[in-house]
Amino acid sequence: MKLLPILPFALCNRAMLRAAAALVPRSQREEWHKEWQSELWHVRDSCCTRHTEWQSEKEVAAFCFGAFQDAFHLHQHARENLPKTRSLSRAFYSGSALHSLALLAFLAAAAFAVSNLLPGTRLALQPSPYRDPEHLLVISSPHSTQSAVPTIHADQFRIWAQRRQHLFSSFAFYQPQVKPVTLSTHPSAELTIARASSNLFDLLGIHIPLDPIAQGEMPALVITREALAQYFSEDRNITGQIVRIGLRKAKVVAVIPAPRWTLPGHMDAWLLEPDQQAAAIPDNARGFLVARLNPLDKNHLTDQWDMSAPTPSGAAADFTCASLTLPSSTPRSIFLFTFFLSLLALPATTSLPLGEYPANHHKPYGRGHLLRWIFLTAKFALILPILYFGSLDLAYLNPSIDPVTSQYIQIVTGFCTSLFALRWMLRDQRQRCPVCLGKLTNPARVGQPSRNFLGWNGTELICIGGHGLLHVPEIQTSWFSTQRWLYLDPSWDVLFSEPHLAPLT
Amino acid sequence: MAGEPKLSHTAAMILQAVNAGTIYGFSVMETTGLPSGTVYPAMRRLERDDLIHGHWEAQSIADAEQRPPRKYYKLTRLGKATLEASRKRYPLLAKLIPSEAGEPVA
Repeated sequence: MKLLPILPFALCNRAMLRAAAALVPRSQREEWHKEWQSELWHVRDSCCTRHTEWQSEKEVAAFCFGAFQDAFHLHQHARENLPKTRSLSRAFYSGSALHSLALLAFLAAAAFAVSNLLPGTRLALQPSPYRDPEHLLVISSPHSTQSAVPTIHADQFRIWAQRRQHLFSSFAFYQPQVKPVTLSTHPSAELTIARASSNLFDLLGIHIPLDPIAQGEMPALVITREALAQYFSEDRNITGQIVRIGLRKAKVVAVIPAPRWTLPGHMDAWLLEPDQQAAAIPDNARGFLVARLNPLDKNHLTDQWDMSAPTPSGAAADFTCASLTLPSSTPRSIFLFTFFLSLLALPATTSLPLGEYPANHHKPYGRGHLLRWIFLTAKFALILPILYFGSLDLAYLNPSIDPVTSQYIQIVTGFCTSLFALRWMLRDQRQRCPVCLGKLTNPARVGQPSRNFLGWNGTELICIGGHGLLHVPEIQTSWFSTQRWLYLDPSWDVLFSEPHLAPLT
Repeated sequence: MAGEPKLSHTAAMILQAVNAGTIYGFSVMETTGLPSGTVYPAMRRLERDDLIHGHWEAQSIADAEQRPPRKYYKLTRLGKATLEASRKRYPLLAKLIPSEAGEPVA
């Protein structure tokens, strides 16, 4: 007989009992542990007198493992007898209606939070940074298919600006250019600059503190905060300094945040010419023309319209005027459009009926029926903000993407996610118990497709609360076209391990 | 009696063992041959259903024998009635664990 040191085994057995005791409810733990320790002493005493060391230690260890079963039994019993005040936490099991709604609410809150964190999305959701945006419009050639391409000649702008106008109160012009900008203390950097008439920011309603003395001498440069950080090491003393732009000199007059610019073209800076006519800009230079409508003339105009106006050659030409608050281009309008499209496409991806739920005298029906619809409506209401903010987050994730591309991204993502979410919503609704709204589980294949004429074949799902069975046909027939719910009467309750899943009715 | 709970064979065996004088958990294990993971949970259920009653022996007795005190179990009145009903249901119960082994200890 080989003798083994007892102390390590004894310590190990005690540790097992202590670990098992952690499962026992606190009120019973001390007495439970005391009883098992006492029994362990007697088991060890008994085994050591009868068996070899290894054999006895094995028996003692097997005895200690039983403590876990005993502790688990007490733990389960305590859970089943939780007071009714904790019924909310019981109804919150994974797959329950409340659990699903909480998850959707969390996703909606997360999508909203992300949209507030992303600068591009935040800008898209914000109202226009310009004064009276409904009176502002961009005039372009109707032959251009891209709004980001400049189409108006500078001499066209000058002719219109000099003529007496009835429809418009003022015009401003800007021409995007890429120019090297040199500051004495920093190396030269290539910036996208809008060479503009001096009234551009006045017309838009953005206040820029222009120095009247400097204005008469040289052009004024307004730079974005982002470009300042990227190219000039966030130099806080840049305002008032003279910079060289190509061969010309300009004075930096202001630093503004880039999101305040929502007109066509991504700009790093604006070079405001000293005069309103921007005489330094060549006649044939193409740019964008921004106009402000007379307030009285706005009422009878749509958001986008065409007009005929004289050109420098004297002939008339057609031009397109697009309001800066064009409804079709707002994120909300795009989302509603894509959501409508996905609603139209939904029947092609999944069946719309929610199944047959017959009235049953064993289970309450009327209120349960109402609750099912309330649950479906709540899911729908929570899905909408997830889709809206989610599609916006994806579309405006990269702030360097131009607004038109972002709108295309929003259309694609909005449609795809809406279609997926609506499909999920219906499929989820069909796989829920009509009594407790819990997710049905344990899918089982029933029947054989080759015997479809004699009996049904498909999938059978069960409610873990024992409320019933769902029969989903594999092949739709004239006598079994949609899924059917079969209520189980109370005599089946003893078979189910989740009796606490009380009906929601 | 109509109010008596119907016991499983295992529970009836344990009840019979307690009645036969095997009055603590480990001795029930030895008498019935059931493992600890079955015996102790079953005894908790029997105690919860008022079929058996557990009590700790006096500390002085344990000290005199130089061992820790034990928790002893005995049948309640309902337990005795239930055991009688179970014997009719499981006729071999009395043969598996004869009652002559001893009387329950108070």
